[in-house]
Amino acid sequence: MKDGEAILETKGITKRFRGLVAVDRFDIGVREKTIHSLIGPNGAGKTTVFNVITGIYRPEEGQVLFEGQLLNGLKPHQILARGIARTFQNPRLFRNMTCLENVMAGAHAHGRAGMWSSIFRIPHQRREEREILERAEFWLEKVGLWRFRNELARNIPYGAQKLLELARALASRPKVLLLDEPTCGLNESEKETMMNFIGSLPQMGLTILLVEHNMNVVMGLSDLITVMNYGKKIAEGTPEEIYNNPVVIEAYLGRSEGYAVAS
Amino acid sequence: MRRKFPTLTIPRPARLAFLFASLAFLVSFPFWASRYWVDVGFYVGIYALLGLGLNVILGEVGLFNLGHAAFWAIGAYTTAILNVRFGVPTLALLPVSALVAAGCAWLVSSPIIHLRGDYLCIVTIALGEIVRLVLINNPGGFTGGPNGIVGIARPFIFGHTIRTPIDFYFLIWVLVALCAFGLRQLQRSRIGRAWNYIREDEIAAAAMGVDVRALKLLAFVIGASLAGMAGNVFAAKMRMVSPDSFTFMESCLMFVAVLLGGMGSIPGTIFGAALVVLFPEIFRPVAQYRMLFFGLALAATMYFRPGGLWPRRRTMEFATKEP
Repeated sequence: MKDGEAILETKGITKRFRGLVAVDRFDIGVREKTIHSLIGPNGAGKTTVFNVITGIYRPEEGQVLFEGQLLNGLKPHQILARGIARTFQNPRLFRNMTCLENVMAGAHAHGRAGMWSSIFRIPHQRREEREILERAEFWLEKVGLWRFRNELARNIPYGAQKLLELARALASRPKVLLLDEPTCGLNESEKETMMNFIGSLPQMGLTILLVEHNMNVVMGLSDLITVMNYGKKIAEGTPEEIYNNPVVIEAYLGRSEGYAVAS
Repeated sequence: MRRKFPTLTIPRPARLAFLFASLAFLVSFPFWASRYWVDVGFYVGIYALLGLGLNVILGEVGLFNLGHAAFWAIGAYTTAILNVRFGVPTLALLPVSALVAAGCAWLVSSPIIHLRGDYLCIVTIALGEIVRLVLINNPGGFTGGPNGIVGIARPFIFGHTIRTPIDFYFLIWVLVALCAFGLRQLQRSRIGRAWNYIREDEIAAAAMGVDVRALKLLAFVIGASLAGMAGNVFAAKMRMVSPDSFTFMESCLMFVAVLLGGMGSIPGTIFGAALVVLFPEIFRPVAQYRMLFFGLALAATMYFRPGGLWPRRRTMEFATKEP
């Protein structure tokens, strides 16, 4: 692990559900402005790692460090305010709200206006609302969903929902973005759009931790790949190294007979 | 599976005209309607205020609260006790009742706020019953037991005593108008959106930086303070309070008002409150069947318009220009 460079780090995190050890003394260090992929067979514990980092689960052991500070014990909304945003495997949008309102959620954490200033619309509150709206419009346009701005989120196509969730996360101005299978369920052209978009994020100063099953996406985008199985880290390296790693191939296929992960 | 209904797009001038027409109707109503109907109008106002409070909790945040009458009772008894025993003017107790109800809401909802759906629902039913039973059991001789408290003084404002049905009609509707305005401002702000995010998906809301617990508590506190105010005006109008007024049935009626009107819709909730009060009045001629009709109408509404009769149309709210 390259200490000092990692913006987001987990040290020996363990998460158990009753008897099942979902994540077992797992370490990962995500370096700034890189795309770091986390791969592994179904049930390996990837999403659980996300849930531990974002404070949805509390780990039994281990530490989560962000910019050198401990995140353990913080609530999800506090972790977002520190600068870690995420998307979900199946889009968890606010389905009966408009796309614009969905993206505005990302800007919520940076607002300060409380009950009274909202009722009386004090100047500060008005300015803040305008900023929230402008930021939401900016990201909605950026992911190419401007035409859906006043549509309810549940009425837009699946591919657009995935992009909308991404825009929502980006509107929170995160430093680190955790993406849980962003191309899952997309058609080829949508995949392409999504991949190009994710690939452009590090240039904007973002750090990406990516969970993905599509090997074309993973191999094409990642700077570094961590492989996990049964909650443990089994390999880590560049796409090249992982591609040829017999341990990884075995984890996916059971035994080493070449590389044939579904894409 | 929700069925989709074509949404009407009503132009802004038409909506403004409608708003003014309804205001004109509300203001002129007591001057041409009979005393009896002015009283009915007063009760519509009480239920509108209760409904608006519950709408914050149930409609905006999606918390199933079937014990809202408890906060109404707390407001009414606060007014009764402080006025009859300590001689505080009734109208001065309006904010006090709101604060006491809000404080109680904060106390009782803090430990249960993390419960979801039906669990929260059951606990709120229990809370409603606990409050009613406490009032009946007359702790420390404060609540007057099953007979309640009588002899609440008439409220007065600027030397004018509020006594006639028309006076009370205006008192309650001014309050409804103020609260509806405040809630509308909240609805279209960071706070209101955050409430809706929680209703739509609590986990995603938390992951997007919404302090779920704090906002749920705020909703309970605001909802209860409106019920507390309704309690104050109700006590002033009746000049007495008793536990019979604050039954589980009342909580149900408020719940129905919100569902019928459309969860999260302010005009819808006021409309729902009007239906809940007016329906039994209109169907008085078929007295013994009126609750049957009420139930049928309710079932039909939920079947044909699951989003309520007057839902909020979000797609109209942000008229944004091209970037």
